[in-house]
Amino acid sequence: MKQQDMKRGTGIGEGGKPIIQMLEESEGRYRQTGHYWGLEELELWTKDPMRMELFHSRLLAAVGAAREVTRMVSASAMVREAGELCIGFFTPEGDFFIQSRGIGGHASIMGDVIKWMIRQSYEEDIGIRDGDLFCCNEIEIAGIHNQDVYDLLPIFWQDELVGWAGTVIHEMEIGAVIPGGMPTAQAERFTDGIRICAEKVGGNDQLHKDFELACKFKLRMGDQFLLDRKGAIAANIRVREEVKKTIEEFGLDYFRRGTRELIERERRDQLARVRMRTVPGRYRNCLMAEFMLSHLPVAAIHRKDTYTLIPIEFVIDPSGKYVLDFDGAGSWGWHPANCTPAALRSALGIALIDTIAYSGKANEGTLLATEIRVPYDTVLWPSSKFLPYTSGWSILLNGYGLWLSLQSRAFFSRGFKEEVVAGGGSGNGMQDYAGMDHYGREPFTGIFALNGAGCAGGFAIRDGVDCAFGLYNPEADIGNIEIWEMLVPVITIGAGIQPDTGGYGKYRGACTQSHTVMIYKTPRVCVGDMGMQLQSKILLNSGMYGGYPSGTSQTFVVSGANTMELIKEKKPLVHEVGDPRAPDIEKTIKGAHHRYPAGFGLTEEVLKAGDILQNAVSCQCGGYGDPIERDPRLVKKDLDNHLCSEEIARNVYCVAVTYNAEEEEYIVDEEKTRELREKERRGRLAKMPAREWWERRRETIANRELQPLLKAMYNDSLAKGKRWSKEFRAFWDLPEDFTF
Amino acid sequence: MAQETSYSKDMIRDLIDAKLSWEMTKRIISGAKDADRFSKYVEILQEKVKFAERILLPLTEHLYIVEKEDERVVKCDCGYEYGDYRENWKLKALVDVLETEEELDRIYPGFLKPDPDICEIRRYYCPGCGAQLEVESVPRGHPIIFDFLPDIDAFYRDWLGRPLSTEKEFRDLTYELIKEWRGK
Repeated sequence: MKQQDMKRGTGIGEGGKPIIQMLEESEGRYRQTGHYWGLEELELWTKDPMRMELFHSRLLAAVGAAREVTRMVSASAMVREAGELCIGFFTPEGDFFIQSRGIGGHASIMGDVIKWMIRQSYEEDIGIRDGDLFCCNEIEIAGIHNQDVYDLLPIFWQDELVGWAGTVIHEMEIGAVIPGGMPTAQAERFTDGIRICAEKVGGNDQLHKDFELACKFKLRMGDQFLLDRKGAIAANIRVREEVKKTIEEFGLDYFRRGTRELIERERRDQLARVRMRTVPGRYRNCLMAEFMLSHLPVAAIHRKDTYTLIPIEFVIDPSGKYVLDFDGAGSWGWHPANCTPAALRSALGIALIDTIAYSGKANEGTLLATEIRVPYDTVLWPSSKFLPYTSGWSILLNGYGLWLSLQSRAFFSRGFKEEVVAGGGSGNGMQDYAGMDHYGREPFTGIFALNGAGCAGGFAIRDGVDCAFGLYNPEADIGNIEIWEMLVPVITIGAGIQPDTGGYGKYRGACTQSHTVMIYKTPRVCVGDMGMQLQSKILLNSGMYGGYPSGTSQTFVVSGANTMELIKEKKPLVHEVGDPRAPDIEKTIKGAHHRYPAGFGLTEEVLKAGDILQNAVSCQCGGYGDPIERDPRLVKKDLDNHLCSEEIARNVYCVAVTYNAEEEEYIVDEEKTRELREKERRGRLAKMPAREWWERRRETIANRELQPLLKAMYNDSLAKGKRWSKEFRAFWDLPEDFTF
Repeated sequence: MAQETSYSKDMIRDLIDAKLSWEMTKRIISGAKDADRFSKYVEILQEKVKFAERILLPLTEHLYIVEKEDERVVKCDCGYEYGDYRENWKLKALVDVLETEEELDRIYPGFLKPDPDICEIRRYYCPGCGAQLEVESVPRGHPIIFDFLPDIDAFYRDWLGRPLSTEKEFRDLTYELIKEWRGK
């Protein structure tokens, strides 16, 4: 369609308007009035709220049903077993209106892709027609990491574009440098695998043959990728047909107006929820991310370690708006875990949906009630277009994991203790395998996801629920282990909850899962760690009101393991982590032992059948409250259930116990416990006043006595930050031009 | 017109003390929120604490912002006072820093512990009662985090509709305290 035709009123939008005109009109009216589409009156809602509820529920049911369709059609275990998908419906201009359960952090980003296509004159230059299929995983357009692939389908009613269906699926293989599903050994985008730039990949509801052929060449597991596309298309078509039925039932005018009213209504509801449940003010935390590339097979120019500081300021303003400010964030880098403003906004969406906007009506309006201030040319908004993003979730999961505790402080002060949860971290462990699989296929790559390891921090009135939380995906469930074992050349030989892995507190954080596998029927694989955990040297600051953060993760690898001999001799294999000072694996299995910290990137060894890998994950979730106020009966329960060690019961909870071997249970010695706790309290009272500590520490700061990478980190933030830099120097009473 | 959700004071007391049944707790979590929660919450807490000053805002499990004549100070439930709520109370607390391998290993045994050259775990205690009020895990050299500076006047005036008699400027006074320490 030519521009001249469009001016004559033959655009695909409402009343023949070009879509770009509708987008500009919508944004202009919002800027002028502060209301979505300038809607000051919610006429349909006021006239008949029940009809509006019915209208909403039709579309909610559509995306929910579409999600189940995809799960049945798609090939990926990430979809079927772990629920790593989400279906959304969007307005013609790309505002997200409704979404299914699943990885909802992508809802607003899929809308950003639609807006990008509109701004790039797709209507005019590429054409947007009924039955067209668009696909995108290009982070420079909008996205979090390129394994999350978006399929978009325009929906027409007669000749008018009335909306879009969008499906996101997390792919297990994306054609990147090995291992190619979720690799971390990469420093430039050219090693990221395929990045599809909002391309038209099909028409008449069918994928183009050239796209299918290209996928087969560019990917190790092209058939699986294409089956996932077909699952996504099936879901989008399901949404389209339900949307058409809804228009038939309610009429086109109602449909147009109704979607807009529900977005404006949600914007107002979000502000009202905040004013009812929180307290205005300023809340702060900080995230230190570790990007350790010095040992990885990347080009020598990128082979280095970096720490990057990301200060988090969360303001609830008197209107009820949530404002996030990241002033002081350090530089972007040549590593796969940079972030973008669109990703920050979209991931905030899922954090809100999980914690405050859970009415089922979350949409663009929820995010209109927020503002994110992101400094340009930083790790949160890189100026380079040439970065890899396969670990793009890392900062989001850890950052918003900390943000949870900030919002919780607001809930606590307002009295909603039942909603309070301490901070959480990256949520799980995943390994990425590459080499030859157990069917003899090479090259092969695939992810083994431990969604079931995801954990939440301690709540204000109860412990965190063990192995049952993922910020990014409410279905913290690994699914059937046998399905994973069909896809990845491993056999699970141990899985269990690891003691002492939840942050200690009056209510402890959830304990997480360790997972032990034996490499199976392959002569060669290497293993990557997904790298979502950016903290191995530091603990995420996730504790709350006296609760501790949880410890770090570790991955144990034994190459040349004597597993086959042990099996032949019917001797025990390793199943659990055991004592963190002397892990079981090092006592049980003979071979070359290797230890890797969280987010290590890639094993240096080639592993083969019989070798062992054990993942001792920490989700870095925090505890809540003073541990010596924990009810000793809860400590006993944890001891009995092997969720707490005797050492931690004594050192942290100050609970004295004896073990009754006959009854196989611990007995709390109440008198000794009282004494231990009193002694602990006396010890605390003898500690140093903060002022004295500040004076001593100030001297070391002024003398620049810090580890070199930390100096570089602070120098970076001091150069990038404005308010943060002033405050840093003011806090330590340093000269205005101080650097390390 | 739907009736507004409201729970009895006894039920809220049990809820915040973690004594309410899970069935009821779950119902409260899943249900519409009660608009009168804050006033009941503060009433319950006021009855619990031993001091007479009016609680303006609960700050943590042990700390409160209370009205003291014309001032608003942070006060522990044991009675210890930390000063103006706009200064970071942690600067008036006791602090114990885990910064050696041995100290860290006692709490985070073996591989669970962070790197003491990089990570500093600061434990803040109340000088009055020894309660562990916060644990902070930050890179060495990081300023003490001011977790929460509430905008109390906006809260009472704009959200609760009952402004406080004298308003205070919404401003972080921590840096002024530091200047005072340095004799500036």
